[in-house]
Amino acid sequence: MAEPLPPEEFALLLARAGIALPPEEVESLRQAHAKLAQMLALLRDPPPALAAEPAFAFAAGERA
Amino acid sequence: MIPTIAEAARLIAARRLSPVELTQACLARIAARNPALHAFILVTEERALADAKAAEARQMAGALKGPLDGIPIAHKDIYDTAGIRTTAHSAQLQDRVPEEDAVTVAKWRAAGVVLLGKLATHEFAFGGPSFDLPWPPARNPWDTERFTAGSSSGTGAAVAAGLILGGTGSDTGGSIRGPAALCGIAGIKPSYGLCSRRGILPLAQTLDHAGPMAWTSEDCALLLEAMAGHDPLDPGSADRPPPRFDLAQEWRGRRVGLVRHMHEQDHPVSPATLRGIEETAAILRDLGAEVVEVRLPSLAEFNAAGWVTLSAEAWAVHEAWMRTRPLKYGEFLRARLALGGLLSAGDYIQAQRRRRELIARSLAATEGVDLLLTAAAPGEAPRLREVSKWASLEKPNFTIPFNLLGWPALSVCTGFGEGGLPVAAQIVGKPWQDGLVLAAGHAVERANGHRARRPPEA
Repeated sequence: MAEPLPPEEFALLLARAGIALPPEEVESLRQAHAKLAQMLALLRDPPPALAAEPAFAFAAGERA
Repeated sequence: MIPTIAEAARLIAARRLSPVELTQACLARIAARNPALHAFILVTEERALADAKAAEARQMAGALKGPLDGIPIAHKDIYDTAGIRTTAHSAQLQDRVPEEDAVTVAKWRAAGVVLLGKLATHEFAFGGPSFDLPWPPARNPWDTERFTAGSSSGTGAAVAAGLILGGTGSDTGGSIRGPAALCGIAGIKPSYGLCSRRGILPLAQTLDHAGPMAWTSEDCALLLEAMAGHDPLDPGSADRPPPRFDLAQEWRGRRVGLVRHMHEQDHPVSPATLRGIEETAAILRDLGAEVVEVRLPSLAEFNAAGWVTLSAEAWAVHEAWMRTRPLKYGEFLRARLALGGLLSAGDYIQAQRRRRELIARSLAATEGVDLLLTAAAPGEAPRLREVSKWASLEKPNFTIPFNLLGWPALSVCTGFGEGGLPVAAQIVGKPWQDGLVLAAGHAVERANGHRARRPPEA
C-alpha cells in the first residue's frame, strides 16, 4: 500500500480543497487517501495513449 | 401470505383481492416490523388509504389501469414526492418538501400504485450505514444485527420483510444490487438512459441509474416497464420507445458468459455464493443456453475508474455545502465526500479516458455473448456495526463495472449461506437487453425455488 502523506502535507491538501473537518476525522481520511492513491496509480498504469479520448466527448449542437 | 406483485395483480383483476385490504395488511406489517427494521422513515398512511380506495373504485368499475393498479409500494427517500417530505436521509434536507414528483414517481402514480411512504437510504445514497443522522439505518430482516447493504437499504429491507410489494432504488455503484443481494430479493439496475433521473437527488450523474426492487424478477419487470421511458429534460435519457418485456424466452442459441475471474480471483466469494453462481449457470445450461467463460478487464481496473468518477462527481454535487455546512452531514458521508474533494482535474479525466477503454475492451470480450454471470456480493450480510467506512477502497466490488459500462444488471437470490442469510448472483446484459436479463432472472428463480423462503417474522 502507498504510504499516507505526512500530516502537514495532508493538512495543506485539505486546506487547498476548502475542506474543514473535525480534527478527530482527519487521520482516518489521511489513511484512506493512501488507498485512493493506489487507485489513481492504477488509472495511469499503463499510461493512456496520448490521444486517448474521455468517455464522454463534447458534441456541438447538443441541447443544454 | 405476502403475494408478489404479479400474483396480487391477477387477484385484483379477478376481484378476489381488495386493494384497500392489501394496503391495510401492509400498513399493519409496517406498524409491527418497522420499529425493528427502520426501513421506513416516513409512513404516508392517509395517502396510502386514499390511493387504495381510488384503485378499488377502478377495480369495481372494471377500469383498472394495469398490473400496478392498487399495488402497495414506497420510494427511496431521494425520489421527490410532491407535498411529501424528501430528505435524502440527511439533516441537510430534513424539512424539505418538494413541489413535484420525480418523473419515475409520477409514472408509477399514473399506473395506479399505492404510496405507503418514504424509505431509508444511506445519506444522499453514499453515506451509510450511519448512526449520527436524523433517522437510524435500516436493518436486515433476515437478522436485524446485519447490514442491508446500501444505499437503497430501506427498499431492500421493506421488500424482503413484505412491508411493500416493490419499491424504487437508485444505483451508482451497486446501490440497488447490493441491498437486493444481502436482503435476498431481486433488483435491477437498468441500462443507462432507460429511466429518467429527473427529480431524484443525484450522486454522480454519469453513473446514476433509477430502477426497481421487488421480491421477484417478474415483479421487477412489471415495475420497470412502468418507470422506463424517454425524458427529454434528462440529458442522460435515451430517446427510445418504452420497453415491453417478454419473460418467456427461448434459451437455445443464447450464450451466457461466466466471468469466473471476477468472483474467483479478483475478489474471491464465499462457498455458498460460488455454489449459487454455478447452480445459476447450470439452470441456464439446462434450459438450452451455452455457457462459456468470458474474461473482462479486472475488477481492480473497473473499481479504480468507477470510484474516482463517482467520488469526483459526488464532490461536485456537494462541494458548496461541504465548504459551508459540513457538519450537517453524517460522519461517513462527510469523509467520503471529502476524499472526492482531494482529487485533481487530471485524476477525473484519466478516469474518463480509462472508462472509454474499459467499455471498448468489454464489448470486444463479449462479442457473441448475450448475458454475463458473476457475483453481486461477496457473501452473506456482515454485521451492521462492522461495516468499514472505506470498504469500497479496501476490496473491489462486483457491481460498479456495470455502472461504468451502463449495461443492465440484475441481482437474484441463489440460496443461503452457512449463516442462514441470502446469497446472490448478478446477471448482466448488453445495453437495452434489460428484458433478456429479467427473463433469465425469472427462469432462474422458478428453477431454484428460493422465492418460497421469506425472512423470519420477528
